Amino acid sequence: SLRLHGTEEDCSDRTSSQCIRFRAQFTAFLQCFCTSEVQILPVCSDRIVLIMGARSQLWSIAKMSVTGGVIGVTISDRYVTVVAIKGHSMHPTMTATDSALRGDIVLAEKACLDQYKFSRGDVILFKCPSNHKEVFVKRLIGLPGEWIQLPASSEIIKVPQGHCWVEGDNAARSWDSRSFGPIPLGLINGRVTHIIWPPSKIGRVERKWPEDRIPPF
Amino acid sequence: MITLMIPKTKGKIIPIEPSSPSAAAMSRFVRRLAGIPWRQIAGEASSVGLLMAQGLCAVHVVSEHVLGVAFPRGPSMLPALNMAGDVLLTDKVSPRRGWVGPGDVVLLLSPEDPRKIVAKRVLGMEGDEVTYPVDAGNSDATKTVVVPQGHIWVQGDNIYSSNDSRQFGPVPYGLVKGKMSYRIWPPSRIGSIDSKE
Repeated sequence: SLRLHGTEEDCSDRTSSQCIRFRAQFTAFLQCFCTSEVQILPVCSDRIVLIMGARSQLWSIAKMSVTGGVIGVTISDRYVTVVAIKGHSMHPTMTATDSALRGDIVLAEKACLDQYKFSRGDVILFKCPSNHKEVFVKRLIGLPGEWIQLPASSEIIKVPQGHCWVEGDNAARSWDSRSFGPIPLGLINGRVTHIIWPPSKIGRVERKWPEDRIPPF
Repeated sequence: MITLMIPKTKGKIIPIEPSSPSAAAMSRFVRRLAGIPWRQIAGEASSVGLLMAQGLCAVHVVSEHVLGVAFPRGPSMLPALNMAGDVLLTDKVSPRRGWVGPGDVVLLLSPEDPRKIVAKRVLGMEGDEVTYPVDAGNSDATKTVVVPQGHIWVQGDNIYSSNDSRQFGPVPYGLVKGKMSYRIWPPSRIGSIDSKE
């Protein structure tokens, strides 16, 4: 609380109408700078005590941050989220660097998780099948029910129902379905639509088919 | 057609006396419309809308990340869960933290159709050896399998009528969405779901 010392001449009689008017005007003046309530109490004839609610200011900041956090979590869960890329499996479409930002930052949309309808060539985020805490980013090569050719050999396999086949753009440094097989669609976290950092790479992430692959049938 | 000439004087609109009864009615209507406090209504509507949006976001955060409600249906978990009509509390914190073990009843996305959520009991975690009846009801043959890293083996309690890991194999742990911990309906069976091996 803040104490303001008035002089006897200003407010000798706290019940006088002049004193009351002064207090009212001063309160209104200070209210402009305070989000919480301002009160001036005439404690004694030569003192004006000013009580400012510092605690209630902290409380409103806490309320605003909790509300913002809840709304942010909901938007990030259902509509769009921002992810930083680690790893080199999608080079040159997306890269990781050793800088503080750890690499490219991308925008991923979650609307696709409503019906799990994807297209060949989409870049998707998904949980690693052997470690649920890690999230991978790869390109969707095979949709459920399709027959695809394994890149290295001439083997042809069928992607089971409810699963998909993913591969990274940088085949040499990508740990993907060629190692852990088709993944259930339920592991997918979102679809990458745009790169938003670094500024030289800002733009849409296009649906693209790798050049030397035979399309599935 | 009736035309109302409305000259503006210093920002105020002064209506001219209308010439016919229908024109009089229309000018009364226009005056009524102008008298409604549109800005106040819009302000109140937007603040109510904002409050509702905040409420819905809070409901989403709680039911997705803390505690949800599930209504399981189907015969695959008899006798632990009824065929229909049960209401269960789902703990969403445990799977994220890895506090799921053998004997727990979990909710997971079906590996055959990600839009379906199924409830099954966990029989084995990664590295465990699971022995299961291959063709329950017809033969006594069993098979033993080791659960791969990051996966779990799920089976329905009612092995005669359950589509589970015996058909679709071990599932990645990332498909687990919640752990069923407590039944709140029907009243005769309120209590925690037994976790049995």
